[in-house]
Amino acid sequence: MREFAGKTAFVTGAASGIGLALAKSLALAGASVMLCDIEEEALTVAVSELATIGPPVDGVLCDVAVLDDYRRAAGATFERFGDVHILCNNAGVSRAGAIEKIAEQDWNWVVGVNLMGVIHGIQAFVPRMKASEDECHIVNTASMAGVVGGALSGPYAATKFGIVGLTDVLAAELGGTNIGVSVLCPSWVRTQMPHNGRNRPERFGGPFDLASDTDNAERNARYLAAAELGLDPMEVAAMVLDAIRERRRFIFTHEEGRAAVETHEALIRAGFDAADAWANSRSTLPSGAER
Amino acid sequence: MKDFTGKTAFITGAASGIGRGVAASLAAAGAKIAIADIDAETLETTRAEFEAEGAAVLAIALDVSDRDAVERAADRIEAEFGPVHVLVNNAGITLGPIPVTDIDEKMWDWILGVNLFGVVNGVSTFVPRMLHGGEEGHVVNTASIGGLQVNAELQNGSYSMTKYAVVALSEALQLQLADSQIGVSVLCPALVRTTLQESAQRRPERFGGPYDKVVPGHELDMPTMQPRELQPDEVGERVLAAIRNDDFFIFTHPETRAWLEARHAKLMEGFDALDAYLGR
Repeated sequence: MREFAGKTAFVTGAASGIGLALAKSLALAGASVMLCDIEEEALTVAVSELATIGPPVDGVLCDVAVLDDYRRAAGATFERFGDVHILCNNAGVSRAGAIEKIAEQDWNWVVGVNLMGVIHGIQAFVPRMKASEDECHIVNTASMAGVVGGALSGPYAATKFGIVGLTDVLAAELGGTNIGVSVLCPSWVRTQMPHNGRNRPERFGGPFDLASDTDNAERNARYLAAAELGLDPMEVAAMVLDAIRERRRFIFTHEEGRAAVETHEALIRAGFDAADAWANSRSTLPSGAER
Repeated sequence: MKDFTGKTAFITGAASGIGRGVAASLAAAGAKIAIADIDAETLETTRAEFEAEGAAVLAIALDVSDRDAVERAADRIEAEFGPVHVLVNNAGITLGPIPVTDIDEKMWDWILGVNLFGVVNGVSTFVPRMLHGGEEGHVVNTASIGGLQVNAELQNGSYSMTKYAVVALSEALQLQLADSQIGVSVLCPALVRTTLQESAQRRPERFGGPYDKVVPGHELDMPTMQPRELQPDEVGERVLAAIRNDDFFIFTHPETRAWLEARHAKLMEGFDALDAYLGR
């Protein structure tokens, strides 16, 4: 997709952080944008800010984890703008802690937003994208935590790996069609991500403050400091627009991630070396020998 | 962990397939085996066969997606066999060949419930008990080679997505337990002779009950790109050796190395593009 003018984008988690930067950058590039978020006040502010850019923008309040709510938001978007060409499945949340310490409701919350939110987006938009035959693109926001392992954020790691996997799946299922797919794998970005507990719905226990998470205070302090020093979300959005133009699958934002991926690959290689050694040790047994 | 004599192992999805193969190898190494499966009938047959071969075996009909049921299973095993040393979160299902756009909420709940939450429930229930016991232990989670790359021919995206998540969960657990006495492995096999393709017959009522194996309109010929099919007992032997060796990634098919190298190259292309973008 070389040209964004006249296209329509739907961005989730668009009231702040990377989502807001994506929405703003797409509007600046000439696209109409529907901003989707669960946080009403921030959404209103974001929509009025972006409305001054030029192309039509609007907002829709939605919990992406709820299929019917997502369908309603997608329907409102079709009504307002017609076909959607760019889908940014960006909304995401996290809960810190050792795997066994994460409450079931928090697992359901993180899986609901991070994984089901992306799936709902695909299900709501892909059929119409296919039917339109226009050039379209889907960007799923994962994380470097979606390609290399990390401790003490099991639900985040599991769902972000899941999003990367889902994007690999979409690349296979949509290969050769009018729909391109990318997965965004950023490292630290200056966003409100560490404070995402503010948006936990009542059915998952309601909002919580980062300071209340005393079990993970040390980790949370590190995350806050790292996010403060992170990339400007607008820089990340510029990389995403570039990747959409070039129809690239993997969008990395931090060069230091390369070393992390190579270390991870070495772990996989070690696994195959061990498998080879095991296979060789078996095949050297005399035939009929007890194993 | 090198010695399994008198140790207790808990293996889910153990009535047949890989779970049964792993249980057999652990029993042969001297472990008491607690085997769980949602298919109570086959489980009982398997239990009787293990017992006839002289194994100390306890069978528990179990839906791993039910956290409370997993807790109850843990209590029962502890009462009968003592603390668990080896946890094998192996139960898994497939929806078969169906595009991710066509899968309804109930189906997602089921595959996430078993493949992802089954592992979460096993880890959350047993790992604190294992840590508390203070004895040497090992956790094996069954993912798949499809948890590290996607084979387009298989058209099994929902399965792959959940298996990517299992790999991530295993990596998180390994890092979390790095300084403990508990080792962690993730099993990533390719084709094994199992009853995975009969998952539909075992779907619990709360996820819609059993259904026809193939979703109408989604019949699929067997893919052409297939590695050698292994027998569950071979995988069981491989897993036992890997626990002894404390391998993190357990691969069963050496020929799949090339698949992962191809995917790694794609990731590197992403970093090359970043360098070009940044003008490096």
